[in-house]
Amino acid sequence: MQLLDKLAEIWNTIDYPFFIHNGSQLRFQDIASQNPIDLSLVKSGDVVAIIGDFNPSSILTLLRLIDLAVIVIPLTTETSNEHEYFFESALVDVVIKDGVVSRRTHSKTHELIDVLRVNGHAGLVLFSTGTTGRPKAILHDLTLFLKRFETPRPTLRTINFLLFDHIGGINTLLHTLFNKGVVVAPEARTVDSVLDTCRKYDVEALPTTPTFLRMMLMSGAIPEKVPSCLKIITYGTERMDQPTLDELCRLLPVVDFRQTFGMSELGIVRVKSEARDSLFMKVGGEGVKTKVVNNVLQIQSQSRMLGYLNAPSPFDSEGWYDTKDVVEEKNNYYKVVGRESDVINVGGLKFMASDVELVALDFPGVSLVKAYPKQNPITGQHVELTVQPREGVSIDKDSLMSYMKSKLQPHMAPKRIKIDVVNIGHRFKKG
Amino acid sequence: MKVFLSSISIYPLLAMELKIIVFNVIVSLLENKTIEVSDETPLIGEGGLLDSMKLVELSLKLEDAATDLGFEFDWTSDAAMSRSRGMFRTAGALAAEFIAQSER
Repeated sequence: MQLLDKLAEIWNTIDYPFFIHNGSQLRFQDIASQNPIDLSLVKSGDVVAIIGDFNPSSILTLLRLIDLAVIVIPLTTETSNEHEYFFESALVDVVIKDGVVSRRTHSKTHELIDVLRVNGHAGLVLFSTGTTGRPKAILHDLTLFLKRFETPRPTLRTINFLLFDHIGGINTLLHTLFNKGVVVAPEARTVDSVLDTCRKYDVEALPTTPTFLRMMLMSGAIPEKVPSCLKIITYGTERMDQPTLDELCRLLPVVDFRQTFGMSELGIVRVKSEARDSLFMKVGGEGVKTKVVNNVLQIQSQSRMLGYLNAPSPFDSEGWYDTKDVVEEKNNYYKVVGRESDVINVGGLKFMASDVELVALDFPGVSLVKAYPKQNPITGQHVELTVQPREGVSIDKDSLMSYMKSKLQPHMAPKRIKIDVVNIGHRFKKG
Repeated sequence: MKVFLSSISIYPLLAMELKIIVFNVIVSLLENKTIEVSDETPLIGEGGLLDSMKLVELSLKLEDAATDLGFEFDWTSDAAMSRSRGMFRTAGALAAEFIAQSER
């Protein structure tokens, strides 16, 4: 059965909206019966980039493209300066933007795309936000990806903070559709707007990032502006720190905090937090195995990607994927303490950038921080620190430097501090 | 703090100022601020005032000072290191390198 038909059947007897967007409450039937855009130029097996967001038109087009068994690439306007690169590296045949369908010509082929075409399967391409090199085009077999949704699971009214071009966003959308849930799109991705939307529409679950949660804390919105309807806050996509989690748990004692963990390369893996105030989590789920090699987490997953379209396969011969996440292990629970690439080595002494950031975050007036290694010919590497003060606050670099020196071992103390904006990407992760 | 400018006559006024900057930065990194820094004061090795971490800090401070003065103090490139392996041995050698780079 086609996906749209299957979903129409699921929603056949449901009278509540599945999607709330910009004040409009839409039932699945309203979305399915929208005036569809003309997809006559699109053929089965095409690679199709759709530039959109979680709006009714984009969702309908996305579902229709899956039914056409195309390889779909959801993109957003936030990454428009990279679209040409995305189109090139993913061998895009068709671009859909603002309801306009246009074909591109190229003569390239890729064996992984050919496999999907031969099997008549739909595909999904997502781009990595890797910090090294250009983004990688991650190809999933979407027909297999959708199988995970065949087992019914409970849903909560969820605000979809994650983006259209992110595996978490796509996962939330499909999970909600298959399980008769409700997704609410925030009007703006600001702290106030997200919390207002939660209050207005009785949102129960807020999936977000540690950076956004820190911004919530710094803005003073917690706890007064957090509505009582909110039951669960999930956080993932970057490392959370214990002081932030402790503060969140203290200020919001009835909210359950759960960690998520996933990589576009692996599909979605199931994660269970040890406790609401613990950063330890169990990583598992159907067809998922884990092991730790040299403190780094490796994962095998049946729902893994087929491969990259513009880079060699990252899996070893047994299918293990090196997450590059340095973890601590406790009774089969893991705590991510940093990225392997975040390990700073000063004169042979290794530590994590997060160890430095944690100390800096405690300095009065500090809003955001980023510690990073710099190469030098004396100790190999040293730490430098960029600090963003809270609005209206000025930070004295010398005082901060003295403070860092008083709290950290000499090799870990930053050797240079810059007062500047700490870049936060459109996915609310520190750049 | 006392700074002994034993080679004042070699350098023009600007060079002398640069030397004072280098010596002042060195002193700012010392626990004991009463130490007298001269051309011959060893920075590293036997009797050296600075450990490797302090040396990195010193170099970065000089990099920043040079930027403020409108030139680039290069201490990280292979060329810089091979050109002046001895520049960290004494305060005078470091000052001489700092001055030389300001004139390039």
